Amino acid sequence: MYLEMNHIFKSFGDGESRTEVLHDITCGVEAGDICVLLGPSGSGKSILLNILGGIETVDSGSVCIGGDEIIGLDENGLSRYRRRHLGYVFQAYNLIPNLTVRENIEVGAYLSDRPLSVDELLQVLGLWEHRNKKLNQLSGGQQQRTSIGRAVVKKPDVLLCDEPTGALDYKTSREILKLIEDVNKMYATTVILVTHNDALRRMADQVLRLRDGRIMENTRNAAKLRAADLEW
Amino acid sequence: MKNPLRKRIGRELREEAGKYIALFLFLSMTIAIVSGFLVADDSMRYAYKQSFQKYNVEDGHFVMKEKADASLIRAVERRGVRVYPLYYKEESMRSGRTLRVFKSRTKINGQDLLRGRMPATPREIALDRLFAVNNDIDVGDTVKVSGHYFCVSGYVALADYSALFQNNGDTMFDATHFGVAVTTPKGFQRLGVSQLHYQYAWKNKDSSLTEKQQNKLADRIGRTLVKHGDVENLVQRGDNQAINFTGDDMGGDRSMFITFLYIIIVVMGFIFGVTTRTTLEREAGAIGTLRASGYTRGEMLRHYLALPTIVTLAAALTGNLLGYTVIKGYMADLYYNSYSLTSYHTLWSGTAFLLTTVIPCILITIIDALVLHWTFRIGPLQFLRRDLHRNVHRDLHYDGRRDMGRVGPYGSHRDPHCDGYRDSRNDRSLRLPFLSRFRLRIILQNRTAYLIMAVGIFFASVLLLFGLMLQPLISHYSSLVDKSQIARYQYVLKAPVPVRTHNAEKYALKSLKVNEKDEISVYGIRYDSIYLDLELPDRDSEVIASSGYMEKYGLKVGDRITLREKYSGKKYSFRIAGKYDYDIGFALFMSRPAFEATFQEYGGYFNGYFSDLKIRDLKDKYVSTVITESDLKKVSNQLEDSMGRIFDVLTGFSVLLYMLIIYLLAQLIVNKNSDAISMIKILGYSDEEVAKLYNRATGIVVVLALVFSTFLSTLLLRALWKSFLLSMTGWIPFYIPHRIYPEMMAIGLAAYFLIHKLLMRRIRKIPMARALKNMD
Repeated sequence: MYLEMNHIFKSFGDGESRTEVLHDITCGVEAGDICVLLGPSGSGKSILLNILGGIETVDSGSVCIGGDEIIGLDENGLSRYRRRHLGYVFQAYNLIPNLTVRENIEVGAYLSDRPLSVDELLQVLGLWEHRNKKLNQLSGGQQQRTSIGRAVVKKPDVLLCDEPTGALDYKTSREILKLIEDVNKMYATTVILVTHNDALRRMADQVLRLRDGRIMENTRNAAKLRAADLEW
Repeated sequence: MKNPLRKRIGRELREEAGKYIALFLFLSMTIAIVSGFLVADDSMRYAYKQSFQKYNVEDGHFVMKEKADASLIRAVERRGVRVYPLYYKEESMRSGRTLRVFKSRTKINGQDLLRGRMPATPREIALDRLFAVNNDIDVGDTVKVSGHYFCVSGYVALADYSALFQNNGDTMFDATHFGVAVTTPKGFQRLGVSQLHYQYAWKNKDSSLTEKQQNKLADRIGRTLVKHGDVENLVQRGDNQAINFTGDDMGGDRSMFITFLYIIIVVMGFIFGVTTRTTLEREAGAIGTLRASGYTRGEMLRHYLALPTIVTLAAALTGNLLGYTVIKGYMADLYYNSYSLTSYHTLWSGTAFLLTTVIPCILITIIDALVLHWTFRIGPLQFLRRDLHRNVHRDLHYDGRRDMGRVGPYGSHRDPHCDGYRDSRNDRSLRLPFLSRFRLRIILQNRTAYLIMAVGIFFASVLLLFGLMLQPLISHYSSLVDKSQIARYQYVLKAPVPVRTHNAEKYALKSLKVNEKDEISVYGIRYDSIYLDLELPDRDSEVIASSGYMEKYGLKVGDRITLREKYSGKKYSFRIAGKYDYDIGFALFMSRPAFEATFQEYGGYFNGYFSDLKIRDLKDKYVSTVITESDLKKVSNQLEDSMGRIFDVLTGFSVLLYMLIIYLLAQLIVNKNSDAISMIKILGYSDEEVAKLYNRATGIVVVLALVFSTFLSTLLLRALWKSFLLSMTGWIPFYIPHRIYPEMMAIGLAAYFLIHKLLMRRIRKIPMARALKNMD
């Protein structure tokens, strides 16, 4: 397994107010797979994603990526890990408001020694015509494309997507999912996609379902659909 | 590859131009003022020191009753000096002005021509610049000197009269009523001989004499003169106030200006800190994503530190440039308004650059870096949650299921008015009306910005109060002179000579040292004095002390004080038996018998007269000093003349500071709450109602800050005034008339209302679409 999680426990608070949010999570993801992390609100899927992203700590357990353990890394080590391996996409696009589309993507490219060509990526993302626009001139879908471009341009091994379509309409959501799928295919990027939309399981190689901080389902998808064919 | 984030810097600067221009202007203005002052101060001090050599300033002078013959001059010169005649005529002008006229100087105590030209004909005269300006006499005007008309050919500064002391024993100089001038030898002859004074300046042949050796030399010259003739006066350079007063005073304001600069810099540092933090809050999501993508804490910190540092650096350099060019002249004028200084050339001052550019930049950068460092201590997750508070788990514990990066109830921001984890507090505050609750919430949520606003208002109030109080303080001092004067004429005698003037009352006087700075006059007076209404103590060791002395040194009746003689160092100890209402002077009063016993003087000893009338049967040669009301008022007149412009500058500067601080922080609060404002507009609130919520919250803080600042700044200034005067000679009582307080409030509120109008425009400009767009 490229990405391995072993016996992860995570809780918040102390004493009586202690709440366990992840309980003995053990699973793995193959390199180049799309893994959809499903579950209702509060199931712990985003926390698990953040643990993979090195921005959340664990109480115990281990997380290995490409054989390297990330639990226990210090602040600089985690920064290097994120810089080298990860791309992040969120529901809120979190772009830098006073930079253009192109510049926002360049901000991601700066983190890599061997980034993708920004111009080519703009074409792939369908943002070439909008490359010099400021964010307030873009639609939500275009902004999310930009944020995907920013995450992908540095050629991350793993793309972490936290509800990337949560704020988008149906049509745009499908376009974004297709884009994520394209990125996965073109660059062999492992994708971990957090969603509460059950329909998205059909585009995954692997489905992880969480409830109350426990893995309820860990299956591989035999009849995977293209994102463009998804309906919900 | 260069970091593309750098492009954000220029755009942020453009987008927040109003804020950064305000900060830039204020910072550069402050630095320009202080830099200008320091440059002028350094350059003028250098020119002043250089003038001793450049204009061959005397090492001392003496005035003889008669013209000194060649044998006397030779006798003096044998002591190791070279003597130069420097006769003058002291002539009267209109309205009680006195002009001391010299022949144009060539060999000693040279003059610097500042404007026009030197007198070329017997009907021309060059006046001291300051005296001429104070009396509205321009070059080309005609002046009447003791009945003779002269055309003013130019303005000069005499190197031995940088402070226009008429007599060396005067408490203060008066550049309006006394001036100096030079004319041609023939012009000098035109003036009558009755007012001719035979003054001779000397210059030591050995220029390496120590102060002690110079004192001894002066003593020897004095003894030689006394042997050969009738000496009216002898002053060596070290004791000559007309030469030294300026040098002693120069640089005295340096620490005040530097303190003022650093107060402003610290306030600015925190304003930068708050504005930067607001930017971080606004861009928290993007910052969190970048941190999650691998940008390090250091990279982010350096990036967000760049703009404040660039603005500060640009402001400091611009300020310095302005200081060296425009402001320097204005600041030099502050000295030129007080002193008759020779011309100066601007010198590059490394110290000024360090103090006004390097240190302020470092200070602001450090303050900003600390704020950023503190903010960036939190992890990417908290940025993504837009929760920049340190305690990450508080929110998680409250809502552990909250997913990061989710769109909050008000677009992309967390709802600033709905912190659910404070339910019990909310319940308590429900007793307040809704609008009050809302405003209270705004104030609490923006407490850091409001706290800095309050601190800024406090400092502005200190400056404003200082600017407003100086004029009344000087007027009050002047009025105390009227009340405190013991007699219309107070004569200090060189020898005890009897007079027949009615009501002239004898007294004995001895000057003792309180410490290195202050001297105090110990008076021996009659039990039944008609000038001083005092219950004199019977004991020799008991005195009545003046209120000014007691106030300065915090003394009370019953305290013991120890004073010493100036030269011998002999100590005297007294117990304060009472207080005499005499605010402006340092004086102790005892009976004449007690005085004689204490200082071992003979019975009936006296060395002065109090008199309501001018004593006409007292020859000048027996009079050391005559103290009149105008002498006592010289201090206040001089303060008013030299500092008059500072009052207005300080007041204007404080008003600007009020406006800047209120504007920057209030607009920051409006900007920060733009989404919320947009949302409540959608709910149907009008612009005016929005302003009532947000601007009135600011208004409440401004009013409270003004009230507290008025009170606290009075306490602070009282303490500063006392500590300032403790380091100075004499005492000027602290005084603030009550009318100043409403004036301060009115100025502060006027500044707020002006800003309120600007903020109204800003609120109007916030579109309703903003909140909707951010929810997409």
